[in-house]
Amino acid sequence: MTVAFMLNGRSVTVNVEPERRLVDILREDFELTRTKAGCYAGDCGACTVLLNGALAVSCMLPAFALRGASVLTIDGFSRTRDYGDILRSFNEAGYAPCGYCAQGRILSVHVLLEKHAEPSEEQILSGLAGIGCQCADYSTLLRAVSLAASARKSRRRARR
Amino acid sequence: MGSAVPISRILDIGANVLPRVMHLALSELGTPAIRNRATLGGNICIRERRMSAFPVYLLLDIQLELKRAGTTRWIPLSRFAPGGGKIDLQRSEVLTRIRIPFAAWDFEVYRRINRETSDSADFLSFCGLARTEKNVIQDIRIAYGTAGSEVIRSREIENELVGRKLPIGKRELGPIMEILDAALALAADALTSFKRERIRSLLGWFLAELPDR
Amino acid sequence: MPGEEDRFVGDFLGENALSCNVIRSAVARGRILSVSHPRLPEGVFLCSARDVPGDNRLAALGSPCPLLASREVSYRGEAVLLLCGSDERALEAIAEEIEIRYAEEEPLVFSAPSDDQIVDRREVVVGDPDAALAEAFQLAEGEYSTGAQEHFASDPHGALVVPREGGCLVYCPTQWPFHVRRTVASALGVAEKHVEVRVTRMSAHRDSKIWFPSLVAAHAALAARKSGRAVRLLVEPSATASFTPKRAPTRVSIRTGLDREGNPVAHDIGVFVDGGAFPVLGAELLERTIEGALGGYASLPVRLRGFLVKTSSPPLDAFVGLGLSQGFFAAETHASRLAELSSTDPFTWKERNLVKTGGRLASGGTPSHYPPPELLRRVAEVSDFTRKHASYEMHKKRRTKVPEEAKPLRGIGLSVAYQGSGLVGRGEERSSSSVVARLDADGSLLILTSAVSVEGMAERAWIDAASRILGIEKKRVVVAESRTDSVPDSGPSALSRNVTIVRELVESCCNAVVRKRFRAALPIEVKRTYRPPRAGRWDEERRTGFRFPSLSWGAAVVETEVDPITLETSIRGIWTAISCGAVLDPRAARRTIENGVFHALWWCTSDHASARRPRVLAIPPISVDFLPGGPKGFAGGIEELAGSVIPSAYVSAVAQATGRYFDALPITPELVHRYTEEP
Repeated sequence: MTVAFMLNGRSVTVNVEPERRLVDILREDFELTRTKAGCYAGDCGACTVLLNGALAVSCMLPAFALRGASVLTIDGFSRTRDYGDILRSFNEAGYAPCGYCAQGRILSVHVLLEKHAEPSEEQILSGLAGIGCQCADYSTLLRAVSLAASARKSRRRARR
Repeated sequence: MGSAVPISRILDIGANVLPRVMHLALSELGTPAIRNRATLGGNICIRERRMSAFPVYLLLDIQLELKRAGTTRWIPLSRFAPGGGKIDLQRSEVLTRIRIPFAAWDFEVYRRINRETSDSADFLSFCGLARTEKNVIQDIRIAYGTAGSEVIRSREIENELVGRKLPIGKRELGPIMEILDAALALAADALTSFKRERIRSLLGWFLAELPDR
Repeated sequence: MPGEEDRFVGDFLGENALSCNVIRSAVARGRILSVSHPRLPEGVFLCSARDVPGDNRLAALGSPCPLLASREVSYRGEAVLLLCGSDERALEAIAEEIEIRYAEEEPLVFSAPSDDQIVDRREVVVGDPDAALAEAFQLAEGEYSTGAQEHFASDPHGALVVPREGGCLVYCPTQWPFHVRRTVASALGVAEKHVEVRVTRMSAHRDSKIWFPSLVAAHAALAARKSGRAVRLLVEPSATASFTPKRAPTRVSIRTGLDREGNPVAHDIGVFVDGGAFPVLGAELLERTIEGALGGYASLPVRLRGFLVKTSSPPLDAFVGLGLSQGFFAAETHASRLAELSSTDPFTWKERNLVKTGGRLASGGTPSHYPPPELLRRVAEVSDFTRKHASYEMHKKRRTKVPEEAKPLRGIGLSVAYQGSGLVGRGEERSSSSVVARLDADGSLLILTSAVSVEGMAERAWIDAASRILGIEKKRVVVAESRTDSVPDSGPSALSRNVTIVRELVESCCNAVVRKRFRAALPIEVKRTYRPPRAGRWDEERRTGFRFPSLSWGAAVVETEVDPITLETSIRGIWTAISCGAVLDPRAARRTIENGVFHALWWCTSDHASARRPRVLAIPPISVDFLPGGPKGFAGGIEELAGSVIPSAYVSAVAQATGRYFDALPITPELVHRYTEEP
C-alpha cells in the first residue's frame, strides 16, 4: 500500500506492506539508523520516535497507522535548539547513556519537559520508564533533567 | 468517553475529574509510549485474561456502548465480561463508547503487587471503595485482579459489611474471612497460596484503614 | 565516513549481504535422528556440521562448545543448521518446513548432579581443617544459592562477514576480537592471518560479549563460505533472551567450626557452579567462584571442594565478573549468620575477622592491596548501622509472626568483598597480552590495542595516562580502532582488565617512549607484553602469592522495609565505601558503582526466568565513598564490587526484617510468603 506521512518535517510517500513496522521503514528505507531496532515488542524503547508530538515505540507502529501522521525521529529533533539544550545538560551532568538508548532518552526528556517545566523525581522516573536499557545510573539522570529544564526555561524566557 | 481514546489522553483529563482509583490504575499501565497507543477499549476487550485495572472498571460499574449496523446497545461491564475469559462481543459488533458513572466515595484505594513488571506478567491488583457516615459503612465494594480469566468479587462480603460500625473488631473479622475463603475456593482460576494470603491481608488492611477517613 | 566503531552491527545495512537464520534445537537434550528440508530455491543455502571445513568447535577458558550440533543436542536453542538467502520472508517460510527429529533424553539438571555431570573440579586445603573441625565446640552450617541473571544488553549479537581471498573480513561487536579471529579461522580451516576482525560499536554489555560473538561470527563465516556471498547474521531478541549465556547459578554449602566464644576456627566448603551445556569459560568461572566463597577474611584451616556442573541449560558464565560475586554472596551471608549466632553485631564481627595488613586470605593467597581499616567503619558510620541493627533486632525478637496489620518491617545488612581484576592465578602470564604505542614525527601518540572500551570509558583512562607521562596534549593521543590486522592481542576486555592490565601496559609503553625519546629518531614504536611482578607470583603448590593481578575492596550497608500486606521489599538506604587506590575518573567511577547497585538489586529481586526487563526502582540516593590509600600508582577495577557486596547485605536486611533466614537469590514476595508461612 502507499502511505503518505510527514517525516522530520518533510512529506514522504512509501510503498510498503501494510503491517511493515515503522522502525524498519525508518532504518531501511530512509537510512535513519540513529533510531535503533531493539526488542520489537515495545519493551526496550530503543526505537522511540515522536508520533504527532507524543512518544511512540516505532516497532509497534504498522505502516497503515501512519497515514497523515507526523513522525519526528532523533535525526529531525537534533536540528532543534531543544535538542542542543538536552545534550549539553547530559554532558554537563556527566550523564552518559549508551549509543543504543541515548536517542530514546533524549526524546523522552523532551516530551517530559514539554509537559512539566520543572518535573519532580517521580515524573522523571515515570517519563523515562519506557527506556528499558540498563546502561545508565539515575542520580546523574535526575541532575541532567533538572539542568535541561532550567536551560529550556531560560532560553524560552529570553526569546519572549 | 470514546473507546479508542488513548490511555494517556484519559490521564490528561486529570485526577480531579477521573475517579481517583481509575487514575491510579491507568497511570500504572505500561510505559508512556505504550499509554499513548493503548486504549481503554482495547484494555477491556482482551479475551483471555482480565488486566490489572479491571477490578477498578468493574467496581466503578462502567457501561459500554456496543454498535453494529443499525443497532446500538448499552450494557454494564459485569454483563459484558461475565467471566471464564469470555466477552459478549457479537459478530461485527464494535465497542464505541464507555461511560464512567461518577459516584462520590469517601475512600478509594488501588494497589498492585508486581508493579515493576508489565501488565502481561503475573500480578495481583486490588480495588476497594467505601462510603461511610458517622462511622457506619453505607456502601462498600471490593475486587481483585489475579491475572486470570476473571476478577474476584464477593457480593456476599459486601452485603455482610454494609451497616457495620467502624472499627471492625477482630471477632467480627473471622466470619468475614471465612466468607472470603469460600469465595476464593469457588474462583475460576487456580490461586497460589501466596495470592490467597495477599487477598486476605489486603482485605484486612482495607477494613483496618477505614476508620481513619 | 564514520568508522566501524561509530556503527552498531545492526546498522551495517549495505554490502548487499545475505540474511542468515539459525535453526535451533527444539529439545533440551537428545540425539538427532534425521533432518529433512524442502527443495532449496536458487540462491538459498543450508549449512550443517558436515559443511564445516575446519574445526567444528569453539574453545576459550573451559570446555569447548560445538559450532553446529552434529549428532546430539545439549540444550534447547543450540544451533543445528544455518539457512541463508537474500529474502528474509522466504527464509522464514523455508525454516518452517525444515524438520529435525530427535530421540529425546532426560535433561541434565543442577539440583542433584550425577558424577557424569562434573566436568571440572578443584580441591583447596589450607592447614589441617579436619583436626580443627573435630575439636570445634560447635558447628554452624548453611547452604546459599543464586540464580541466573540476564544482561539485557540493548544492542544485538551479530556479525557481518565479507568473503575475501583465502579468508574473510568480520565486523562484529565483541570484547575479545582475537578470540573471534581464532574461532573463525579454525572453523574455516584457514590461517589466522586470512581473517580480519573489526570491532563495531557496543552498548553496555556487562560481559555478555566475551565469547558468544565468536560463535555468531563463526556461523556467519560458515554461511558466507557456503554461499560465497557476504552474510549478515543478527541474533533475534527472543533468542538472545533464551539461548545466550547468563550469569551462572551457584550453590555453596559452608560448615564452620566455632570455639566456645563463637569465633570461627575452620571451614568445610562445597561449591557447585552451573556451567550449562558448555562451560566455555568454565575453569576461570569455577576458580573465581571458589575464591569468593572463601571470602575476604583472615586465613583459617579450610577444606574446599569445588565442582563445575554440566546441565542442559544454554552455556552459563559471565556477568560483570565471573563467579566472585556468587561466591561472596555465600561467604558474606554465612558470616552475617555466624555473627548472629555469637550475638555479635555484624559490623564488629566482620571488622574483627577481615584480613589484616600483612595477613593471608582464606585461600592462602595474599592480596596485592589490603582493605584499609576505615572501609567497614565508614559505611557503618554513615548508615548509623550499629544503632539501627540493634533496634531492628529488638523489634524482630518481640514479634512472633509477620503480623497482618502491622507497621512496615525493617532490617539492615552489611557486607564486605573484594574484586579481583585480571585472570586468576597465573592466567595473565599465559595470555601474554600486549599493547603498542607509537610516537610519530608530528609529536602525536598512537595507542594500538585490541582491548575494546564501551563508549570510550577505558579509552579516556589510557589517554589520560599517556598524556600525563609524555607531557603532551590529550587531543594528540589517539587510540587506534580495534582491527586484528593492525593492533596487537590484548586479551579479553573483561574482568576490569581494561583499567588494570591494559592501562598498566599503556603506561609502561609510554614510560619506555619517554626513555627513548631523546636518543632515537621519531617515530618511536614500543611494544609491551604483560608480565606479573615476580614477587607476588602465584604458587599453586604452596598456595602463596597473588591470586589476582589487581585487587580492590568494597563494603556496603543496605536498609530495607518489607510491606506486611504485599510482602514487597523496598529500599530505605544504600551506603557504599570503595578502596581502589587512585580513582581515574571520579564521575565515571561513581556512575559505575551506582549502575552496579541497580544491577545487583535486580539480581536480588527479579526472577530472570521471566526474561522481562525490570524497571528502574525508585530508591533513595546511593551514598558512594571512595577511600584514599593503596600502593603508589595503584588504580583497581570497581565494576563488579556492587554485585559482590549488595546482594548479601540485602538478604541480611530482609532476613532481619522478617525474622526468617534467607539464603537464596532472588527474593520475590512469593518467597517471603513461603518462608513466613512456614512454622
